[in-house]
Amino acid sequence: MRKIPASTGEQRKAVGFEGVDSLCPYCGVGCALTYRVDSEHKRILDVSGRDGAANSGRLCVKGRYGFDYAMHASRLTKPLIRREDSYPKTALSADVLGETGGKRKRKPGGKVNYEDVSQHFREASWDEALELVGRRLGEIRDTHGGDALAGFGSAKGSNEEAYLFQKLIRTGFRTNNVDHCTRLCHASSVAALLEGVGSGAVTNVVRDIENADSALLVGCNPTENHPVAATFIKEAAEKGTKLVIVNTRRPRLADHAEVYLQIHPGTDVALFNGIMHVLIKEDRIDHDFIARRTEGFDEIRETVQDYSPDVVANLCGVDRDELIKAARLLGADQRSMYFWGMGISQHTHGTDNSRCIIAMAMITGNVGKSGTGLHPLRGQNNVQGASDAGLIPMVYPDYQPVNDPEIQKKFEEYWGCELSPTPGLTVTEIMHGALDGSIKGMYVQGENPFVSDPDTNKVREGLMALDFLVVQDIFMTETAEFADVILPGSSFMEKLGTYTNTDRRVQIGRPALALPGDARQDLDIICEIGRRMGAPMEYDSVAQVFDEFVGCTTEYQNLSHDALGRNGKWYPCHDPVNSEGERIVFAERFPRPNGKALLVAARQSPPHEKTDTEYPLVLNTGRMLEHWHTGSMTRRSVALDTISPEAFVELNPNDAAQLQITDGQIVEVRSRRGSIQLKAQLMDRIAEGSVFIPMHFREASANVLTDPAVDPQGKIPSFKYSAVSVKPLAEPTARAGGSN
Amino acid sequence: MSEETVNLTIDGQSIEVPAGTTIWDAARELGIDIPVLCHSPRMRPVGVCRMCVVDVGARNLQASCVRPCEDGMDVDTRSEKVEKHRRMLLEMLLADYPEDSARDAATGDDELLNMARDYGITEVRLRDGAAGRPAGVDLSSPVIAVDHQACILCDRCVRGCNELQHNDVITRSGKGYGTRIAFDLDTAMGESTCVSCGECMAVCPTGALTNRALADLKLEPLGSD
Amino acid sequence: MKLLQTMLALQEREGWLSDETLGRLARETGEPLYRLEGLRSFYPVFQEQPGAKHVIEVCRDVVCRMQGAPAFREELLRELRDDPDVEVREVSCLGRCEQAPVAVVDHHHDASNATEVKLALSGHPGQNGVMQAHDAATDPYASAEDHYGVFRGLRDGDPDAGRDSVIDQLKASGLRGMGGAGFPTGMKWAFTRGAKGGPKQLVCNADESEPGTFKDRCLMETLPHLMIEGMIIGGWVINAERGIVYLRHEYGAAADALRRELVRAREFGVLGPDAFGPGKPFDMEIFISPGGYILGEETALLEALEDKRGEPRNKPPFPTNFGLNGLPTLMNNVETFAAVPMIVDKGGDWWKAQGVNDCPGLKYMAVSGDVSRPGVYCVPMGTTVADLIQRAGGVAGGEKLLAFSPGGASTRFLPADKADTPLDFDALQKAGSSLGSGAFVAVAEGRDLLDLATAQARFFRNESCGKCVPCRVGSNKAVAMLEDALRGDIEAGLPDLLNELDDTLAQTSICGLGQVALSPVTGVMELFPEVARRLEKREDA
Repeated sequence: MRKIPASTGEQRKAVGFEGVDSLCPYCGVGCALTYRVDSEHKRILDVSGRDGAANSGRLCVKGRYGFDYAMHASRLTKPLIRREDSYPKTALSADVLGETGGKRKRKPGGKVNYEDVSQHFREASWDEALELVGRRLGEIRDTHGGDALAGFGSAKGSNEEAYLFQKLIRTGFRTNNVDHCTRLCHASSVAALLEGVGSGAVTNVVRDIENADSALLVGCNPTENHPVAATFIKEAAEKGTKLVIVNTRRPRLADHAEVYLQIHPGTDVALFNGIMHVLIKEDRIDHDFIARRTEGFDEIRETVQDYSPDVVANLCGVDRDELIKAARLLGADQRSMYFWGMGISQHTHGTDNSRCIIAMAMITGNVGKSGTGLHPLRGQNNVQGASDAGLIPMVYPDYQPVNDPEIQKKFEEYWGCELSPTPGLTVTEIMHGALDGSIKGMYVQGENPFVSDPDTNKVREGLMALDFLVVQDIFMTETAEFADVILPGSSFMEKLGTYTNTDRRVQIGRPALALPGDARQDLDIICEIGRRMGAPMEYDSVAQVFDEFVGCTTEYQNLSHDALGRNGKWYPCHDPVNSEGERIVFAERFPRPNGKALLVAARQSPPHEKTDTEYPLVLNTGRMLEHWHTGSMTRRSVALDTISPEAFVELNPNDAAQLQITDGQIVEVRSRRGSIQLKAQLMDRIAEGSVFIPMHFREASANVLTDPAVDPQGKIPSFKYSAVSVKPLAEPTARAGGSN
Repeated sequence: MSEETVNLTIDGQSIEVPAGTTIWDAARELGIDIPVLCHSPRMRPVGVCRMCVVDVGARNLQASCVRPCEDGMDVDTRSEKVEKHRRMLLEMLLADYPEDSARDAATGDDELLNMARDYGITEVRLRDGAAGRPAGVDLSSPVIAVDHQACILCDRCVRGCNELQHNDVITRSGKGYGTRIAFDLDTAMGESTCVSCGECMAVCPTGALTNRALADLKLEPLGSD
Repeated sequence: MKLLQTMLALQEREGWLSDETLGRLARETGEPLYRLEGLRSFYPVFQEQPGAKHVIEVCRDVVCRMQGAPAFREELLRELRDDPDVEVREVSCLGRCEQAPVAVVDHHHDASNATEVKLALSGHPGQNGVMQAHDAATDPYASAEDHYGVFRGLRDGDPDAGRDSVIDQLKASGLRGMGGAGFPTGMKWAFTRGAKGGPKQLVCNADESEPGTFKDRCLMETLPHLMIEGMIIGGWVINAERGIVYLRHEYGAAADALRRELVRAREFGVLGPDAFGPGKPFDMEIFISPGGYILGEETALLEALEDKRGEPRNKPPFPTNFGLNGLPTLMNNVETFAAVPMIVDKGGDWWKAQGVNDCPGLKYMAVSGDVSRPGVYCVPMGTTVADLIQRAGGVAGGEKLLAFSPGGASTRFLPADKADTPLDFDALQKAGSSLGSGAFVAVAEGRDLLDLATAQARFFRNESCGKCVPCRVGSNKAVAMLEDALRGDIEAGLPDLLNELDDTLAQTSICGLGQVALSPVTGVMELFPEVARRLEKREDA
């Protein structure tokens, strides 16, 4: 007879499992979760979804299983100083060196080889390391001026960190050369939104799609990049919201779409103009809204006249009737939401792309009410907040221009020091500055430009050319190999702070783990460097930093750590006691001087780089579900690395057949800037003439290939369009990796 | 427009609820937790485990998670009759339940075993259907262990996968006593289109879908050697 | 309907549903794979392996078992062992109990012995005889030209008064659902007619699958115009635009008869674009069930029509309000619909008066088991059991009656001394059993009632959909213990445990299948003390 084993439950409780309510550290969806912490052994056991505004308990593979990087043995635990004999500086590990045909056998997996790198650094005390950082950066500032310095903050850090980082750069470094990876993701979207709407944030939250009749999702792949948001999109589709999906690479969401348009790469503007052409011709526009709420419509009407369905269908490579059907689904009689991602922004015409999206929403009156709105899907967990906090070279917190004398004065008073009136350089410009010698010192906190920035071979030269580089991170990143000083910071799981998600929801992340070794809180390190550069920053608490940040914004008014509580608030929030904040904004007016949205017409322009017989294919780069950006976190997560261990290039089977490439074969992908070797994956979902490479794999880094040309307004690189060639390799050469 | 409401009595307490409210939800509002294995407030109720049956004075007991309240209903959630049948249902599930549950071992939150303990069930009179785990184990996913023998077919994973996450991977496969959960066309989980969101594992009440990482940890209770 | 019909067509064409086939179907239809797997694995028609060229399906249920099905199957297995092209399968009741034991060869040809099976295999199938109901007295028409006259009369009259009158006549007739549940038909029609929402749906439950039941088959094969006219009248009363006949897949001859009759009905103009008057369309289609007794449960049937796994729904809501695709749905059994033309023609009072012993109307009984002339008998409601047995030629072989199951696998066996009970819903319930679906099985002395009751329980276990715990697990555990007991391996406390299991299944199962699954067993334990004694563990054992 079966016996039931006695309870172990009581014993389990005695172990002291503790739930820490916090957030997911990965994407912009901002899922609320609870870490189950084994306090006895100081480790996170597992994660469960929490009833957050963005996720209602749902999580994706990264949020669920990707937390263990924080407990990885290779965490940096001591400050490191480059050894005297390791100058002149070069990269240190094989993959980063970019050797050709090197003798070293590539290790499986893709982390920096600590054996290669560690021997070039020595451990130091915090005092020694910080003193060195303060002295060297101070010397450069005092000798060459503040504009010879630059800082890269991080969209993965908290609002408080972003705020203090930019404050340090502006008040301590005395320059506006502060930027972060928003430059690489939505800078062009923000440029268009600031220009047209007067605000860079979303006008409505993802989940309001349940109230939409239709939605346009363009240049985004939510099931991979915003997985939990995707679940709500699919839910809405199941309940009747008609999805119009535009993407050169068929996303899984297309299975749920009413219309899927696989356009030729870089023809977005033509498509949008074509849609507007149909909307205007068939009078599916909101005349009242256009008259009351917008300006510039005549220019739009004029411009889109040239984009008839026949012209556009031919240009974009889509079916004419499907195009018309898509337009009708987005007419003024529909409540429509507009979602877009990097497929829109990461082009040399990224700003034009976004301008068109804004115009489509505006001429159909689909902004400012339920079931409508503009939503650029944000990538990093705090890219919205980091931008709000002023990690942008042209603006102070809350997008207040640095070159407006009144605002400059306001901040000089607020921070108690003189400020530079010159807008700073962007990420890509700073790298150029490093190369041409105008930038001599850099502070990189939690970013990894060696892998994330375009044209790796140029980035390598730039990093090597710096006089002084301090990198603050939790792992030995590829960028850190070029550092003079490496400072061990705190992971998400170790710190308290606020994060603003793609929906403008400000939420608190709470510490679940103790700092490893001598690692320090990022916030403290920033303050210490400030103190040593004559810009003292003293705070009693993280909440106090937040209060200071809130004090110089209008959007975050009324918010505080206390007010945010367990589940956070949307900003703006006029009454945090009784309200969750505003889900939908701009019901009455847009935050532009005349209260009206500005419609800016755009014409289809050719891509910066052209394909030719030597480089006949268009390279598209992006993310994949299991990995995060440069892989420094996810490739140290056992689960994520096991599920997705290696780089690949997606090829259309027809292209592959022509190139005599079979599934799983190692191929060489070459652009005008370099080449990499990796495995071929034959996929129907990628259009003929295109290839896709995820950006996460340092050993076959997509950015070796990418074109560093930028959008003129957003200064965002053209990650989605580079000309490449692909050829099969009989055998992989000794090491697959980047080469010159 | 005022919503239509109904009045009823649950375990002697009166309550007014909007028409359509289930007995389970109404009871919860009164602070009465009706035992259940298949239902989760995050999900559409399906009424398959039958543990939540209550006596409404009808010919047979009613599954409270799916039964809408009716005006004038007099519900008994803890009568001897109700508890007797719950115990038998538990015995049925336990008869086919493996001796060792990965969830019980790792985190102690195996809802079936804990409910059996609450009911003081120490022995099962029905014959053992679990010896040798005839239903099988699937360790093809790097993150989720599947112990089909510990599956009680509560459909939480099915709903979690298809209705919460909309990942559309898990189904009931087969029929009758031979029913089991399956992935896609009944392939191994690790070879299916599963995207490892872990929702199934998170909502599973038993040792059927568990976190592999936790099984590898040696979680010794305090005070043990 | 569409997805299952597509899968049925693929199964028909390819002989099985391979992963490749379903993968292709998923791509073409956008259906997720899991859904196709859920369907493929649930419905017995769908095969996951390529089968043999020829399939012989041998019934394993109670009536065939009584007539030697196990030996028949053994014989077939023995004789066809060396033929790789032949597969012998055991299946649940095929609805041909009057021919017991029975096998169906290649889904088309009935056979009751090895010679007939071999004949069918060799391409010379014997005649599948069409069974006429004895004493059929529910057809109002003297000649075929008059068919559908009742409905045509209604259509030509005042529509509102006509609809009211149909429901009034049905109420007056005392007609109750003939599928087994016995719900008053007039009330059901009135509920559906009055239900909010639309368009209203109309379904005929022709999924007759309970062991011993074959009267609907007979009605469809020989009097299809009655059922179809009943449905047309039903559709007209509730204002539906289409009707669906949900037909079990083993009823090929019935399907043919119905298809022929639908053509006739269109010729009569009672189906088609102007069926309910100019510009008022009504039409019907036949949906062939992918199999399984549970689909006869009305909500499981609806789930199947919605292309889902045919698992019964939790009720309420009931189909009259929330049926096919959530719309108000009128669903009746074949026999119920078939009674409607006569009732409307002759009036409810006339129908009611056809019964005897204060019981209303006429009833088709499928009589099988130990009787001399098994078949379908149309008798006045209230006819006694003894009288029915007499009509069927008495107990076979002149044996004495031991027991009888009045209405199907779910109805308890009653002892011979209850043979004076009238065949009627209430009277049989009072006697401890029920009228069920009218599947009367006579059992002569010398039979092992425990074996037969176990066979009934085994049928329910085999046909359990598995949705809810009590039915899925409880039926399995009980049958396993009973099979052991029949072999002499008796667990201590078995009778109590069986009674407890029966009680829990009856009280907590979602649908009727689980609720009655163990009732035949506990029934014989209660009414036949010698059976109960056999389940006691003997101290000396």
